[in-house]
Amino acid sequence: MTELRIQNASKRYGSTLALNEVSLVVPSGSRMAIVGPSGSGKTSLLRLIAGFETPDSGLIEMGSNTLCDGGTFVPPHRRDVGYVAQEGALFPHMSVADNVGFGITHTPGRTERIVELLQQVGIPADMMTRRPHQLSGGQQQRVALARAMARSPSIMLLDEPFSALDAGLRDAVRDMVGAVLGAAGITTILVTHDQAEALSFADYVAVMRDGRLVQTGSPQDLYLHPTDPQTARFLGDAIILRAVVTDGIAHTLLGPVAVAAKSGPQTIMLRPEQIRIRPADPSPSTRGRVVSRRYEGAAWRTVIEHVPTKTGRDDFVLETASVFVAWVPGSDAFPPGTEVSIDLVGSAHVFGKN
Amino acid sequence: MLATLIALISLMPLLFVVWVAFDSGWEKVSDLIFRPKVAGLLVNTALLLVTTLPASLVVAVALAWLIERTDLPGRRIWSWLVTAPLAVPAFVHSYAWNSVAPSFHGLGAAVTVSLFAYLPFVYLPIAAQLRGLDPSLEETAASLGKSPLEIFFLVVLPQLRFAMLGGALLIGLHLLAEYGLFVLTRFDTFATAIVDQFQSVYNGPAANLLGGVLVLACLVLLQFESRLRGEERYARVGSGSTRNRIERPLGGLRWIAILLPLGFVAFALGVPLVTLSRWLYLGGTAVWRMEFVSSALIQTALLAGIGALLTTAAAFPMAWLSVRKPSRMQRALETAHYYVGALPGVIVALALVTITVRVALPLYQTVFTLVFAYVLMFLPRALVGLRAGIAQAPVELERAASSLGKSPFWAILHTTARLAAPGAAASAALVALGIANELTATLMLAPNGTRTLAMRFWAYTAELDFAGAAPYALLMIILSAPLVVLLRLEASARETL
Repeated sequence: MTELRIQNASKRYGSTLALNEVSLVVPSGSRMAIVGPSGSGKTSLLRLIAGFETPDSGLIEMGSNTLCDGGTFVPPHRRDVGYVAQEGALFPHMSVADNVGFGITHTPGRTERIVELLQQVGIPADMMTRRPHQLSGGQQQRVALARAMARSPSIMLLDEPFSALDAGLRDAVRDMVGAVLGAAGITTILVTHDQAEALSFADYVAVMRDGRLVQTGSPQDLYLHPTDPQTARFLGDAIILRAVVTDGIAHTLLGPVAVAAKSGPQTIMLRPEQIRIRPADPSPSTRGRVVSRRYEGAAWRTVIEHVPTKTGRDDFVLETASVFVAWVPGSDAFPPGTEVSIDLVGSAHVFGKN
Repeated sequence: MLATLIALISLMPLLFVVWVAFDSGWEKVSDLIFRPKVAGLLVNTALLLVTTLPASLVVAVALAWLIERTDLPGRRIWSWLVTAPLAVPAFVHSYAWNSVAPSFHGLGAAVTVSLFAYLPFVYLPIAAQLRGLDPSLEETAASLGKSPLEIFFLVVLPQLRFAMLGGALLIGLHLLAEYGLFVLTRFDTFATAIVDQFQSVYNGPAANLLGGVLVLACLVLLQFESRLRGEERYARVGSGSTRNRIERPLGGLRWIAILLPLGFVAFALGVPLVTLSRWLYLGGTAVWRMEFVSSALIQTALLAGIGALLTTAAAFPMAWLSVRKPSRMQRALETAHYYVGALPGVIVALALVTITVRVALPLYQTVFTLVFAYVLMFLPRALVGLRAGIAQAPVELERAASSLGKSPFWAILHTTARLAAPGAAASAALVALGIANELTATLMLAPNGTRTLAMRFWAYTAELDFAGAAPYALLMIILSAPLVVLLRLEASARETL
């Protein structure tokens, strides 16, 4: 139950700057996901917090303890952190019970504690004598979590622990981990390259790119109000348009949409769920043509191409291309080639208004 | 079929030992074996093993850890230098020690010289294993509150177990088989006793029965190792991305820590090279009697070349089977191949002497018998390299060739054999180098007039003409240099066991 503060942490490996003046506060008891493409510095940041690496400069504090500040450096085994590595990193020469008990001192009640920890993560006690290679990937990660929780750390660091699991199992294990850590009230930091995982797992999401912390906030905030087009696209499909704003309405290639911004030329962003399409009607409207579609159960992921009209304005071109993605309910049928009318709902996000 | 035949042939020395025991009759066996001399040899051998092996393991682990896991200055150079003593044949090591400190002999000398001569055998696998260890294991242990020292003993050392066992077994077998080293340090082992017996009474039952005890000792060692190893595999859990290695800063201790590799290299490499240079300098040009040197060189090269070719060819069927058609039968055959490799050269030589004398006298002391002994002794070496080579050639290619209407033999010849060629070349080279430095079996089997480098060296050393022996030692070291490179490359290619 301790707040973690990182101030201006920098780390350089040879000529590459892995972390560039990163500052981050993780509130006590919260769940933070650090997300970014590979090479963005997210793993380096986690390793600094764990103490596996020393920052070149910067300050790391946990509660009232300084972990790292110029002269002082607390080595990993004296930090109050738990760590679950990418593939669990169970000790192959030890049984499940010995793995979990690794961090527990040999005192009476040790075995009971091991059983209790395994129970929490849903591993039956009769698996205690097994060796790691006799477990499935999901079971290995559960044991790794139980082992990391054995010393009741204040902060749990998860280094892409779900990425090696199958898609279906991944969700189940992630939910279990979230529930267990939430019940124990442990501040958790998850590193992942999977934006969907970050958005669904965390209370706070920090987006990293090229060694910098680009944006921090709640998942909804980040998804709907990304700081720049790159972040917008990283967090999901985004339709980025040029617009002219007058009186709270942005006029775009795809039609008008509400915005909260002052008048003038702006760049705006829409999420696919803000696009509605219907069969083309004769009244004047924005037109598009269905290029292709993919069935994904609940909805069709439909790729639509904008069809220019004679009155169209050149300065309204899409920033990407005139092709974008929309989700169409499974029951609606818009096979490729269909001409459709496009409506925009909700309000659009405007970049750079701050 | 071929593999079975070769396996049967390679079991010959083992069968020979059994036959000797039966042939001599129980009374004779008990007379010749249950006597103080044999007990003394057993004690010597046991003492040698229980001192050399632990000492080698401790030094090798310390060296490997310093070189692979710390910021020791000049790590890359050290890792080569520590492997380099392999290029110096064991009996050249003891020759060097003998001429530096003539009074240094007995168990202490035997253990010391063995340590320096054989340490790379255990250093190489340990270093490779250490490099291949998943760093996240150690990091996780640290996050669970273990100090670096605890992590070393609880997590790192247990993972090195297989490398340590394998290396120690290799050294143990060498200790049992080595002849030259122990003669020069005046330490009696089974190998020296057998050769002595053999040289005084050709083909006596005494030598043969001592050979039987030696074989038993080898089997005990092999059993012991496989017991310790157990059924388990420390397979790495998951594929894992190997990140940067963990490097511990030594700080001010660096200059103390560096004394270990420095000391080791000074003794293991410095002593032989300095002694050798001194003798070469003292001997001047007089010791380079070119007619002897060049004839020894040519004979050695011929024997090594022919032996290597035949051994590699003999290993191919087994290697192909073990990669392409693994089965229980195949494993049994392969074990047969390996067991003989574990047997000392003296045993192979003894067996062949007896067999040729009794069954095929015209073959006694011919090049044929000698080369045959080489094939038996170095089959495992060839097998290891070949197997790795064949494993790299995808079976699909063979199948594709077959589907294009080629006979299976043609298909193997033009696909797998071609792709495995680099592996085959490497293993042939390893065999050739082994043959070039082989002393014991060569001494016992070589036809009259044959004088290899090792034999010349040995003859001069026996007459205490250290200067005269020096050119041959130098040539053997130069010939063995590629061995070091090959073994190192192999060890680094095989990061994880």
